[in-house]
Amino acid sequence: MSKTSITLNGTVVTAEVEDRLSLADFIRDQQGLTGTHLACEHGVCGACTIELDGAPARSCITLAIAADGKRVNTIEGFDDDALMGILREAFSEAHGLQCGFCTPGMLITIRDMIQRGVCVSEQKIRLALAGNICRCTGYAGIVKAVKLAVTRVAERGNHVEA
Amino acid sequence: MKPAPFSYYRAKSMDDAIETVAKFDGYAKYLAGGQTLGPMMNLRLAQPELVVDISNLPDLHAASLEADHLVLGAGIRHSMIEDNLVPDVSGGLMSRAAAGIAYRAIRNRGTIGGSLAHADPSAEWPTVLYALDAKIVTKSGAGHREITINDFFVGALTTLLRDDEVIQNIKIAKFPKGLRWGFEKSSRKAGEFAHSLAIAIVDPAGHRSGVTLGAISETPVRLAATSNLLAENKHSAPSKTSVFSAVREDIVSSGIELDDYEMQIHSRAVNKAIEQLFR
Repeated sequence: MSKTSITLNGTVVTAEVEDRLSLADFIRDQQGLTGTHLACEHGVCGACTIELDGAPARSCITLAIAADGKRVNTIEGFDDDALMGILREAFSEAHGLQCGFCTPGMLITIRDMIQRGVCVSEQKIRLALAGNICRCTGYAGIVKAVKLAVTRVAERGNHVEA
Repeated sequence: MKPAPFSYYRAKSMDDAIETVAKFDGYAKYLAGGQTLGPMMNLRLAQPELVVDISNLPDLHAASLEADHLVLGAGIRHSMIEDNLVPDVSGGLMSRAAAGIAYRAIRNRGTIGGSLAHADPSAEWPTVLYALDAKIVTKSGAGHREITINDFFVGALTTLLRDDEVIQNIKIAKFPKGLRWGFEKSSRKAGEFAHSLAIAIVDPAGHRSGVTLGAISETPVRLAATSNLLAENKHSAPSKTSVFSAVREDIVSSGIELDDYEMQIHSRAVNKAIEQLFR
């Protein structure tokens, strides 16, 4: 057991954890934040994607103890985020989800894609989404939602605060 | 919890990390980006008893541009190379290659040194750094070693690294003026490991020209006949048929046995990389 202290969605949480505990299990089981989903648990499917020190990362292959001293944002931490608000609306309108299992990871990945300016064509969007697996939508609705969100961000004069 | 039990230790310095691993009586692993070790431990393919975290050591994150070469710290993450946040001496080849490694969330954590130490024949860095004639500087209890990349890879997932030895940095010689490159990765799904990885380089002075092929054998392969063909065709791309037969000749003479499908995948990748040189 070791002590880990993580800034989780803006609040410092300190806990004794087993060394082998993944960040995903820590977030879900110990902190009760079940928006972070687990599927493949070896970094391929993207369901567990969170933000680690401001950049998307897989929480299933990150150790809770290795995140000691770092900032972690889960989907619950984006409730008041303007860009995430636009994305949520776009997902709802463009049928960006069906069962919703992949959605938290999708949203965190896509928010980063929009911020980095990679959504310049459908091909680039699809390429950047390759690390997040959806088994319901066939991606058509998700790609449409990304395009819609990008248009709305542009309409609002690129003044969407992170 | 998926991994087998282990103890975690966050190293305070390079010396601390090396000492800790050297004196540990059992199976210890260094943890850098953890994007291979993490999955391997979750699948219990790797069951180390001690994990020494070196991902936060500033020594491993430094990049410096010297007179004739670049020194990249082993802990530099793929996304930093992709985004050109570290100096480049490869005319954009490394950034291009980095952008194709797995997915962004993986590239944000995975490191260039970790990829080399893992030595997956289908990964980007082993082949790219082989094509760039990189040198690998390591540190262990016995001091530093500088290893040329040709010697570094012993086989698939096997390198010259000793148990307590860490890759400290990677030295890459500056590309001479006018040098051009072509890079082609063949994979069925974006972000997966390569089925073929071809790099063609043309140096007007002739010193660095050549064609390197990865994801084909245990270690990257230099294609002699294909490189000669490229040297004979300075101003326009050699015909597809001549490239295909040169690649076949190189693969057969390297003693690598491929079926027709695999031969086609590799020949096509080499041809695409060569075509990029003449665009």
